[in-house]
Amino acid sequence: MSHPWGRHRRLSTIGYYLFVSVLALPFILPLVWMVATAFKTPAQIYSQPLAWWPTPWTGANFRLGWQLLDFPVFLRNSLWVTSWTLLGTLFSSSVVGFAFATLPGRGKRLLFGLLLSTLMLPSVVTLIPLFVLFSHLGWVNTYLPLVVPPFFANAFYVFLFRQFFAGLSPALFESAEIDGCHPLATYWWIALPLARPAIATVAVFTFIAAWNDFMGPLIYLSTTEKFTLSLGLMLFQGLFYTQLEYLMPMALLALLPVILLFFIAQRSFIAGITAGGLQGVA
Amino acid sequence: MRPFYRTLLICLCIASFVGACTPIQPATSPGAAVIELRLAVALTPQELASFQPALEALDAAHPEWSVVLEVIPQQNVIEKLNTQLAANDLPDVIRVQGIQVQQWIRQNAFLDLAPYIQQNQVDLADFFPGPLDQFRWQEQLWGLPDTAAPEVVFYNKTMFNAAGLAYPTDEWTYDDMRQAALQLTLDDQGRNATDPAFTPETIVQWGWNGGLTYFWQRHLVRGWGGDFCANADCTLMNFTKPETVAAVEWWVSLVQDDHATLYAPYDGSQTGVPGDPFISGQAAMGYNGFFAVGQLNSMGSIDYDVVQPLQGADGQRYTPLSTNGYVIAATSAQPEAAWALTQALLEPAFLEAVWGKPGHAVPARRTAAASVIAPARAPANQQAIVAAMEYGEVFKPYTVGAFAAYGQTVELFTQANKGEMAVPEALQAIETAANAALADDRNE
Amino acid sequence: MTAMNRWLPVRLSPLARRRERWFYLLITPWLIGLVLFQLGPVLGALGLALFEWPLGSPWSAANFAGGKRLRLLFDDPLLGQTLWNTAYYAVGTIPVGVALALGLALLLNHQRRGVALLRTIFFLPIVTSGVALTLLWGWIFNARYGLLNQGLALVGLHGPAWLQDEGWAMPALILMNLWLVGVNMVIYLAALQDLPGELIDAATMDGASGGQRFRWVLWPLLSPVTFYLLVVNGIGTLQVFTPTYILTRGGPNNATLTLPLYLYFQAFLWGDLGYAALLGWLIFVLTLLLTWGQFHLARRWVFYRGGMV
Repeated sequence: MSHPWGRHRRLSTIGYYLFVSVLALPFILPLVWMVATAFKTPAQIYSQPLAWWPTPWTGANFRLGWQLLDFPVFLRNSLWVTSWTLLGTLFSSSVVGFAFATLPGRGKRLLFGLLLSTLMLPSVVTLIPLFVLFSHLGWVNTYLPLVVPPFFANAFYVFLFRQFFAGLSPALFESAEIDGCHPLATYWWIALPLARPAIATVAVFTFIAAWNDFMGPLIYLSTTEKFTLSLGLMLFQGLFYTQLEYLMPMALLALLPVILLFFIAQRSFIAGITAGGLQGVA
Repeated sequence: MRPFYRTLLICLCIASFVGACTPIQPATSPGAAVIELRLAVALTPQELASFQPALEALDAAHPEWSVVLEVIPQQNVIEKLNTQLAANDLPDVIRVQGIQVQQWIRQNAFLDLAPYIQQNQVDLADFFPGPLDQFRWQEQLWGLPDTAAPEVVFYNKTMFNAAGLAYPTDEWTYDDMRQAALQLTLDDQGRNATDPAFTPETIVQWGWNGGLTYFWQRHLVRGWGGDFCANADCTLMNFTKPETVAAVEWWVSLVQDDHATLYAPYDGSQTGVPGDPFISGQAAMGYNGFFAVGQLNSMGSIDYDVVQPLQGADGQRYTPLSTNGYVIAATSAQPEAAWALTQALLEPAFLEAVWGKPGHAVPARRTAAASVIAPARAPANQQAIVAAMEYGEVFKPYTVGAFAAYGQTVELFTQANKGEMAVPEALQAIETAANAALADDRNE
Repeated sequence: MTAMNRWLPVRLSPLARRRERWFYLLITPWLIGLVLFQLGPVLGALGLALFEWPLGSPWSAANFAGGKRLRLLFDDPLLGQTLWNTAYYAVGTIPVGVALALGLALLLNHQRRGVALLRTIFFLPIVTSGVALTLLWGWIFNARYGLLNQGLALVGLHGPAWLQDEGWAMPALILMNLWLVGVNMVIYLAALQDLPGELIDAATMDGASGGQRFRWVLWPLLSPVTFYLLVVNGIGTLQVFTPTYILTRGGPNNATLTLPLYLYFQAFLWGDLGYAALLGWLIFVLTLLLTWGQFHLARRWVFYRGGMV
């Protein structure tokens, strides 16, 4: 591949990194703020003057916060709910998206319209009727309302996969069918490997949404041993004030798996071994 | 592809393994005599640490029950209870926050406790009148309070020392406070508000923490003989009585003319720190609820003490208190057992051990209230807090329309305080807006 | 390729019929979920909007309130303001957000050192806790002590009161939303991976400049994803209320009261579930119109390599 920069490469590289780093500064601000607050004493969190840096640094609130909250239990519960949600969403949404993108069907446009319209009614409105439904099923204070629906496809991601597969050359799928593959096999052996970036994307988003979801756990879970991390952290938000000195350290700990996942998942985005990967397009 | 799916599969296996190792909660024991009661509370982790062991001891002492403790984060109680109510799935006993409880009482979500109180000869006189009033509607009692948190005057001893002023006393009046506040309001050059060279744009310390900035602060006008409420449950409001107007003008001039207090105390727009200005170390005095004691003690950076709320022109004190209490769901399948649990949770010994001694809140019963005083804990004058329980009143209005009324009127108060609207005109607008929002509650 | 995209009955070849059977088979997970978990609640939501009955009493005690509620909707003094605020927010955040995401994705689409870290940084705000966001942005926008106004003061400008100023509160929220660009950026990054390199190379060899390559090769190839982002962000804007709820609560003076936030207040704070449900259906209708409009326009600028629409 040709390199557009030629001999100015090094200067451009430094300039590039400088530019992007300056751009990135406001984006790293929340994390820096959370870290600073997590290591501050309560006096420094709640009074003027508000200093950026803790003086002194204290890790005591990590320990105290951990004791106040049943962190290991909440972590386990979050992992449980998130893993199942991930599995269910990835497989069901990708297969349905694949079907919409590559297979014919009478009434397909109507069905796709229906799919999209399910996204358009705000979830707040269906919250109570849905709770009534699950209450009649006896699923309240269990994980079932959180973990079962993802196995029936998430319309946002069906749409994403559909766009993704529709953007690929149909020749890839046709050649498989000529070779005698039925669509499910095409999906498994051809489409999924090609969809690695989309899968990684959906996986990251689903993980984050499930990890941070508090509305679902709030409504459906009642006893604390079932609480997920996101719900457990809300216990620090009192009616009169929020206990930042414990919330920030614990929220930071809860954040780490997500950041780690994103970091690792990037290798799946940008492997470049897929047919016709594009590199260095800028 | 394979490493990714392999990783996912491994995570799932771990999660399955972990989940499988989770001890399964035993279902209600097969003995038919054991009644399962669901008790819902909304507590912070510290309060849970006191409450949960005591509840377990209570449960163990009553083998005829099995209590399942449900916990709701404090800021989400309305969502959770409304959802459960719609599905007829309310817990048997619920510990509710005072200002929220009336909206459900008026939907008949809870049991009338009068028969139980009479039958068991509960001594209602032992409860402070203010918290008890929170659970009354149509001459009946729909719940019983367990704790309350009154507002008292907090003052910063360091700031008083620096200004060379004598500390507030339990006998202080509003005029005493005003005089002191003027001398305690400092700009960045250390000049106080009585100084001709004082620059209000650069204030770094205010004398008092907040002016009259929202409509629930009727205690701030009572001392002048005014009141915002025109009927018993405050679903009809009156902001234009002459005494009320005079009181509001007193407060507005404290903000506008003397600059001794803030027009936006809690959102941080004037102070730079969200939250109460006294707690952030930017106000020398102010009314604060009991929760401030816990927060200030954990910060440990402010040398403070409290005195009883200020006396009005009539020599009386008026202060609000927020309450918590227990209600029994109307749809509970075992009301007798639910009542027995409630009674046990309201025993003075339980209140002392769980709320008073750890210092979470003041028990709402006279026989247990003094337990909140702990000489080893700041502030020194904790007696003032217990004294305030006698005359403290709940926030009104407390119907569901109150929240909308609050939203529609808070801007108007700000405009009056900043001088953008004349006080009588602003009060008239506030009255119109508030009564419109409360109309549905008034007509039931 | 046979013309598959009509819903009118068409004589299909055996191959096409077979493929169509597979279509219906593969979408069954979605169809089952629709019937099980969405049909009932949607009917319930309709019931909430059209009927009224006190919470907790049996559903048979309901009486029709649809007409009354619709009249309330038309007479609602806050509705006009809410609609304007929502439109303002949508127009301010969607085009710029998507464009910024594309720019960032192009900028970060390489394998050089440190790029994984950079991409993670741009994505960080998405995962940060809501409480941290409130406090941080409340502080950045603070009139007196905030970072933004202090920065402006350095260049001699006097910044407004941002979140407390009726005219500046919405721009402040729009600015804050730009910072959540990571989601769109990641989707673009994923899409960039499967673009056919040979098309770009061919363009380069034909002498196309960077700008021409973008306009004539990259942009059409990315149009399905761009379309997705516009539609999905449009839907999201009409439903998301967390930032407004946390930062301004709809204030000052209803300047930032958007439709989803108004719905939430009606549902949970002001206790009028029925009216809230009606507002929810209003959002549904508006979203439907917006999305239908976008699909209609899509024929002009979205390019699918399979030829499908």
